[in-house]
Amino acid sequence: MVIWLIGMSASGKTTIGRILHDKLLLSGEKWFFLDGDTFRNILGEDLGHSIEDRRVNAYRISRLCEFLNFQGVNVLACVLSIFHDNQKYNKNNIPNYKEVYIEVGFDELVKRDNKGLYKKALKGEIKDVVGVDIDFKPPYSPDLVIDNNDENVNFQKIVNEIFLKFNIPLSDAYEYTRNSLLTSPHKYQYSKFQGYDFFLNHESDREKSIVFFKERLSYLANRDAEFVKPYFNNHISNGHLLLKNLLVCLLQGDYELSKYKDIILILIKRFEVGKKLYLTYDLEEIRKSSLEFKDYLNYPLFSLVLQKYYENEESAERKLIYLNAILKVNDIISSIKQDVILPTEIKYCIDALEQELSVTRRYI
Amino acid sequence: MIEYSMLLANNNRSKAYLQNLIKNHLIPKKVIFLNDDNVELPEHTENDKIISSGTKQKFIRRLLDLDISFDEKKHILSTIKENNIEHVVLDTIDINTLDVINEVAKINGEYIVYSGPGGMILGVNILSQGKKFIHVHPGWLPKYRGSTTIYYSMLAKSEVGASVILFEGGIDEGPILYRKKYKINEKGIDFDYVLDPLIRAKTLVDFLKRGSVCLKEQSEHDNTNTYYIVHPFIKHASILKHNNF
Repeated sequence: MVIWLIGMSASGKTTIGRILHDKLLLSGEKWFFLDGDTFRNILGEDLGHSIEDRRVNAYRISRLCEFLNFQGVNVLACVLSIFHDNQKYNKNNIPNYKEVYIEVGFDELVKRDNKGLYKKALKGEIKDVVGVDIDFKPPYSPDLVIDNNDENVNFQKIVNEIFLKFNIPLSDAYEYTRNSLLTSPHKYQYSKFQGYDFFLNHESDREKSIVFFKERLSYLANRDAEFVKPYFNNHISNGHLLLKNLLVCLLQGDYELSKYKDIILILIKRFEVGKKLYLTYDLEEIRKSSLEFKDYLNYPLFSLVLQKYYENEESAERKLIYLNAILKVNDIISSIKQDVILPTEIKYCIDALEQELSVTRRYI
Repeated sequence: MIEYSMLLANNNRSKAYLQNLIKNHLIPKKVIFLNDDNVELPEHTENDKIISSGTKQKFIRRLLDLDISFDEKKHILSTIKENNIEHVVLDTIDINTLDVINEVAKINGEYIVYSGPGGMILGVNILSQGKKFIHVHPGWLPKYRGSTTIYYSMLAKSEVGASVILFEGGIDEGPILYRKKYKINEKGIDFDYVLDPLIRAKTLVDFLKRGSVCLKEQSEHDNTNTYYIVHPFIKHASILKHNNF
């Protein structure tokens, strides 16, 4: 892979590049760090900064990236690229070429200009400065645009965004969905602290599962497998609470959330203790009255219902009770994805995971 | 002065309790020490495995905000012996075994400060020995019942609480003896192995220093929430928020 960070002078591309490079090396793969200034220096500073010399330099870097990539060495290039034809060359000739544009407005660049480059150029003291006397055209088709205008920006978050976007695996991946949690439930006791990388691993786990489910759904759609929207009008039968019926009625708005809050809180308790959802529960104490826990539709339905309660809850601490259960249910969904084969189950699994991500991103 | 004994497992919480009680001249009458070297509890640290401190090396865990600390390397048994505290060592970590129940029955006095293995529940038999078990819950009761409440309260309110209660069955439902809230400004502190034992130890010491017991029953009408073992996502969000990441 070649990741090319494009940005004007003082946009932060080298700073981001250094942090990104450190993290890329943790993956155990070889990553060559290529900085525009260093590259010029290695080649003996034989080129200036005129448009013609910049073009020669750009193609030299492209060919080096192509060469290294061919040798199995990944490259992270932090180079100001101003030529669309050069960017097209990269896309056409370098397999797995990923382009990231670090976008910062010109006024902000001038403010950050520690080298005084822009000030000197604006006064006419120096020439051939991109953004002043050389026009800068943003890349024509970057794979990712990073807005780096905020001076309090969190570089770690930017780096994580790049990892996520390009699906780069980390050595320390999300460990809570490796095995089927319905067969080997996780206790979550004294879980290891992994720093900010944890969020990246968690999000990557969910994204991968969503992609997996979507691919399976589209495969099934081609074979005329149908999504059937479940419908029930009551959740009690022979003195038992039918979990799926209750969840469907709550999810589709047939039941008022507030009326069933106490039951849902008990179901959370039962789930947190047993880490499973059963077909039926007794009505008195809401204890399981069935041993069957492999109705996969119940898991995304429960997750989605809890997400409704989460959104409806005003207290920040009580929201966390719902979120805690949502995360654990969705760990189960992600861990059993291979076993989920019905279009209706798949559809609700996708919704459950996507909605969880929209909630968890608020905490990051 | 409240006379009390202790029922301890070898973990950071017990170390923080015992060392700080001794520092404050609140010496227990007797300690029942549960120590099965063949069992590693989830809350055990590397230092819990050290049987006795063969060197003078220390590993001080501290919370500057509350001016409290403990030496994690110091084994419970070393502390007990150095201070000539009457004790019995039982080769189990199961609090509901007959050996433990018999030793509890032998205790001369009403109160037993409990710091057993995490997640274990005192059974009916041990609770029916006529003793009152004092437990410090790392959460403001009755609002924060259940497990790992530090993470929830730090994330939701940027504060932690601790409550001294009597065990009476149920989850953190016994009468409250004393409780306190803390604002923690210190960054980079480990929640599981440092913050949790130290806020509990601080609250326990403050309670015992008062010298009298006053019960406040928890009402069903109180604003009560029960929390369950924290998912790593909430744990990370809580720690990273506290550290202003």
